[in-house]
Amino acid sequence: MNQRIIYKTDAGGVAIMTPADCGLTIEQIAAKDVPTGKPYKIVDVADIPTDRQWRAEWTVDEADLTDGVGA
Amino acid sequence: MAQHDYNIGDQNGFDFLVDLNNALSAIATNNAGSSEPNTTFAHMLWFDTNNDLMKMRNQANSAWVVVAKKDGSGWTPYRQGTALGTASVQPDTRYAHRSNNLSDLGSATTARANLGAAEDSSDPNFTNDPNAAARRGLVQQKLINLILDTIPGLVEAELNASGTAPMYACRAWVNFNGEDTASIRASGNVSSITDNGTGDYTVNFTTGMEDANYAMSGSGEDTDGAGDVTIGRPNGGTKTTTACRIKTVTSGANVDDYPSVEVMFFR
Repeated sequence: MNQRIIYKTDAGGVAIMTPADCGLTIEQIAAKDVPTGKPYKIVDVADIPTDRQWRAEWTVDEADLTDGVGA
Repeated sequence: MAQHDYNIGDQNGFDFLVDLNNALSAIATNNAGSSEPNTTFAHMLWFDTNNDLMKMRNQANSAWVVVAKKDGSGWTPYRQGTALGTASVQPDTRYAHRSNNLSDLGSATTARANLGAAEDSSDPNFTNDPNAAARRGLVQQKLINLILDTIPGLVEAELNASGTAPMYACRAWVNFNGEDTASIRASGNVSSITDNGTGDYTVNFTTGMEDANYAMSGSGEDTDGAGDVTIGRPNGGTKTTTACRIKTVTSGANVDDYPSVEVMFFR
């Protein structure tokens, strides 16, 4: 899949979820695997930075996480 | 036709002769007459000329039982008051005698149908066989037993397992690239991996484990010279029936991303 699911971690960072080819849709995976109550957004993989030197400093505006909430 | 009370009374010679001849005539004609004899005996025969029926008195001498009917020049036998040859004997659906008329057995197809025979190419699913379900169950059970007896050996042979030690299965596994945007190369019973940060991942299972007491093993490869790869679970990290958090660290105990991370879970 060329999409990723992002949500905000408890520490304020960004979690990036890579879906596996498991027979579920990315929406189903997001609803199942995103922690309960956490809003998420499904983005293209091209939108994820590849330079991970400052990975711990990544942030996301929770207002942009509008695709759903972890079940 | 004659009937007689079979009682020869005290009389003169001529009357005696007539009375005796009448009695013999009644015997010779089976007491034939349009009405029943005035005097009856157990097992007595009476040919009812009004209905052409041969009747026999029952053992209690209380009723007549029809034993045959005169049809033109022949006779139709009776059984328990019903003419044979057209009798509906038993309401049993399994056998030919369920038929109302034995002539129904005139063709092989009809006979097979009446007998519920299974060996009919037109009935491959045994739908006409009243015992089909039991037969199928028996065959299925024999096949199951055969499979159960055979499978362990086949599995051991397929896995090149020698000895008698039991085998336990890997319940989930994943091989992924932990660098860049992270990508999964291959997996089994894994729905996703979560990149929590540098060298920090959560493996999410498609189907959950029976409990969280599973064992995890991991390995990986470092290609940028940072050192040997160690994969383990962080202190207090998530380990539930649905997910397990892992970290990849260097030999210097620093978290790092690796191009190849391989983990597997056993239970």
